[in-house]
Amino acid sequence: MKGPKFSRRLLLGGAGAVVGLPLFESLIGDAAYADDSFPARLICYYVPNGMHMAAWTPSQTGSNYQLSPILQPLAPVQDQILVLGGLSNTPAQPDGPGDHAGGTSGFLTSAHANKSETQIQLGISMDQVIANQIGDATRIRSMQIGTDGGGNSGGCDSGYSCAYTRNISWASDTQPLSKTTNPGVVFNQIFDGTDPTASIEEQERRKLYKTSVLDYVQEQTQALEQKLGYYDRVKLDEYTTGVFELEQRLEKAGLVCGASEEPSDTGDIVEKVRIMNDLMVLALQCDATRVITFMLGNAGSNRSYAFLGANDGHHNYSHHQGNPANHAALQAIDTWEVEQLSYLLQRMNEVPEGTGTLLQHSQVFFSSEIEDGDAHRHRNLPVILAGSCHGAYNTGRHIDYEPNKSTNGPPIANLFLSMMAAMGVNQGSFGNSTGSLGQLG
Amino acid sequence: MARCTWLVLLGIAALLGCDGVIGSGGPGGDDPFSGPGGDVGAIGAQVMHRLNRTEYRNTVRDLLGTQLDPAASFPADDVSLGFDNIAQVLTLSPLQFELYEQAAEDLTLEALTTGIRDTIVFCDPNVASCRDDIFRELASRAWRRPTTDAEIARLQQLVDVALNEGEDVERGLELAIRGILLSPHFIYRPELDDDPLSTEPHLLNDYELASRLSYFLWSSMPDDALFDAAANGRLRDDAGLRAEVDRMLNDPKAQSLVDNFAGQWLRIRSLDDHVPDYATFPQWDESLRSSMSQETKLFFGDFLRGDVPMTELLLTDFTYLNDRLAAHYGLPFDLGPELQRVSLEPTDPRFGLLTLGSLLTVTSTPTRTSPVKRGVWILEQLLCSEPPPPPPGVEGLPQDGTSSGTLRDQLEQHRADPTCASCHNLMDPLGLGLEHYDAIGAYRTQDQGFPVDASGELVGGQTFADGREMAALIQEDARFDLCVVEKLFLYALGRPAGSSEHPFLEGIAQSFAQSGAELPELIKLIATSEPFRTRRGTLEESQ
Repeated sequence: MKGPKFSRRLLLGGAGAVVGLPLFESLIGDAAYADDSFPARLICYYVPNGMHMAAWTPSQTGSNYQLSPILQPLAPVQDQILVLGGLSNTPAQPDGPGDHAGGTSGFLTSAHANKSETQIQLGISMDQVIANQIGDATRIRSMQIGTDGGGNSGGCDSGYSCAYTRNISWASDTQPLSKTTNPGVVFNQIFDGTDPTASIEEQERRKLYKTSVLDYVQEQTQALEQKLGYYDRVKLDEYTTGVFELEQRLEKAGLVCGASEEPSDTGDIVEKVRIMNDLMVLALQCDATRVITFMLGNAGSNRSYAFLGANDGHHNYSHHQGNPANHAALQAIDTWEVEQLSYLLQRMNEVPEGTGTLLQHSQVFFSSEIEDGDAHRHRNLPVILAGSCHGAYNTGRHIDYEPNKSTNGPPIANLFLSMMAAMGVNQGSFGNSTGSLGQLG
Repeated sequence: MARCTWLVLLGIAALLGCDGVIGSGGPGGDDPFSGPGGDVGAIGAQVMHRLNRTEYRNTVRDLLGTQLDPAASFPADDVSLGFDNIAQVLTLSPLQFELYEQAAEDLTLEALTTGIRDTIVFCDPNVASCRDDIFRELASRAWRRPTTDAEIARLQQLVDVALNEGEDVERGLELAIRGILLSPHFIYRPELDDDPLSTEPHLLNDYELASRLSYFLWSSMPDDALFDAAANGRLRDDAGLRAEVDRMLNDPKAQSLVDNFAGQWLRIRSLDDHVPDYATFPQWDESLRSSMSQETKLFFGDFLRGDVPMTELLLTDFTYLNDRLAAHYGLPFDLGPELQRVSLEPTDPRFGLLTLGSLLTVTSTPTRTSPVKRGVWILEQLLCSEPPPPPPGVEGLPQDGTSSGTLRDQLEQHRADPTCASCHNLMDPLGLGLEHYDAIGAYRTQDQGFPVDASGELVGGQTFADGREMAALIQEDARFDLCVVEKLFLYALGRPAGSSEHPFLEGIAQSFAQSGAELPELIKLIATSEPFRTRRGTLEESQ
């Protein structure tokens, strides 16, 4: 928002709407090692409508595999990624139609959505389990970012509330965490209104004022709560959480980290995704947060990728009916999505951290709500796990956990357990997990 | 393996499915009585409503006269049942709270440093009693109810925080106003029960009712006149409520019923997100889009003013056109760039709601029409009708390559399979009746070289030759009247009617039909109905 506020910039310059990272002396060579003095970080990267699996799945497994056509853009970071096949997410199976809602709500929860427009019931997402444990270490516990707000396009998916199709981070069974699709908001979150021109005294005073106002509304909330019934108290609890998290943030020092000017939203999707990718790198690099989820589109997105020659809607193409023209369009869209991921990973790899890089200290989970867009399957999900997260994973391989594609392979919740462990978050179980996922190390 | 592959061929299987159940309590569905409080009492439970983005925007506009629009950067509100004001899904994330806090700060700074200041600071704020007056005035409007002395005293303590820091009263005012604007009493619309555990319905207090009324009609806070009506008890009887509805509908703010109710019910808003394929429709541009959007808004405006009864929604003899739209529709009007009301002849291919370009466009895919989408829209939004559940395996992967022939031929092949027919006999004929209109709403007699056949037969056996005859059948369908009531009730209360509230809906529908079916009367019938004027508590955590 453009209030009458001081401008938040800019310790290092940069032009226009492009967010730039500070330049360090040189890129890091292959010999770099993970540096334990840097924290582990997580990005979960969602793309809609599944994948054209014939052009996604590499034909070999192990470390000497050829990248498939869709995965080609990952060549520069091939040694830092794992391609995982055969994982299933059976709780995401909806009741009747609604695979996009079921798959999207189950994307990070491995929970089964209650089919309803009003009775929202799901489960906590794995990024939030992690944020609950490590979120206090950073000013922002976790960030939820996306490209599409959703506007008003009628029903969302077959009797499921849009809450299930537009959110992948869930703080609890009943509370989806809405994402911001506004680059300016992301930017301001990262820099948090810190005014480098204000004196220490003035900054302290501003903090006191904010705290006083928050104390005031929290008192009101408590008084109001006394008068409310159960369901209204649940609602109000979301507000209380907001107060609490903001108060916590005030306790943490403002961030000094490189940036350029606040980016603006031009409405161009290519530009927007790049800015959001840059901002995610910035947020992690500056340690503003360690947990980010990103939605490159909402469930069942019907965006037209005319700039790729795919003029019809993405969701329409995804119901490809075995038609080669649809396959070609899907492959173009899917490849473009993977290019965006690759850009993010390469940027992360360019950020030196001690003897390693940001990418080496992170894990980036990339997948979709379903496997094939026509079959709507919730098994053999297309998964990339990038970054070794301090060596937790032996990257540079393609692992197929279930060669029989008509069988449900290991629960993806097992992968989530392993990912949590890599973040130092040890859970006995999660969703429908049966144990941590093998072969990763 | 024929199965229901056509659904998939149309590429909408998942998003629309067969069970696009909208509205009243389907089995295992969305009956609010199975939700908060269980199936008790005749009145549905109302969950505390957070101001959605539109409501927040309008409320700060009416409260402060701000030039800022902080809501523009709020996350999108989740939509359920086709609307973004459904209280149960209006959740609040920490990010949203942070943006509320920022907005409160920005709005306050603007209010105190611009011309807005004079409307808020109307006495000398260095005098404590003046500050009392300032806070009482602003807080009671912001919180949409009278304030207590204790609440005002607490706001004075925020002034003291600044004074204790050695800063001036001005800074103190700032903190107090920030507090008012961040308060849960501002962000939410709390309605209180004497006994939150009692499911016995009781009347709302005057101010709670005033807020329900203003957010229903204006998507915003009450104005002074409405507060006054509440203070003087004039909302307690039907006559007083009706008088207020009349007054409020005459206010320009009633445009929000067009933008937000019709904008979502008739999907005008969706047009902003819809991108027809440029290669297929090179004539599509911003001017055509905005003309269509305006046409539908102006069209609905005639119903909202009561100039035309809702019984004519589907068969009118007018619409609103400008040169661009007339040319697009192939109608011989000589109009300027501004939309004007034009009379239509019975021979014209435009005849009401179903031939509005906006609706025809948003129910199409980027490259072609989708009779299934159009049919589903009619079933869900005009008939509030539940198709039977789809058979298992409806989304199976076909092995047989591409089909040929007209859409009609392909749909007919598909319906030859009885498992598919159960759903598609309901939706396909409705959509096929509109095949004379392409994916951006232009009239056509041929589709890909085949002559268009828009005739059909509904499940009840009624046949029609074209879209106009079909529209007449829908208009006469008893479900249509009730559906209009159901949609407006849903929007008015921000929740669906529960099954035990159906007698209210039916009673309203009956009175509405008898009264001549003008929309303002329906608004009054809902505003004076028991579900709108009462509320109840809920049992603790019951399901």
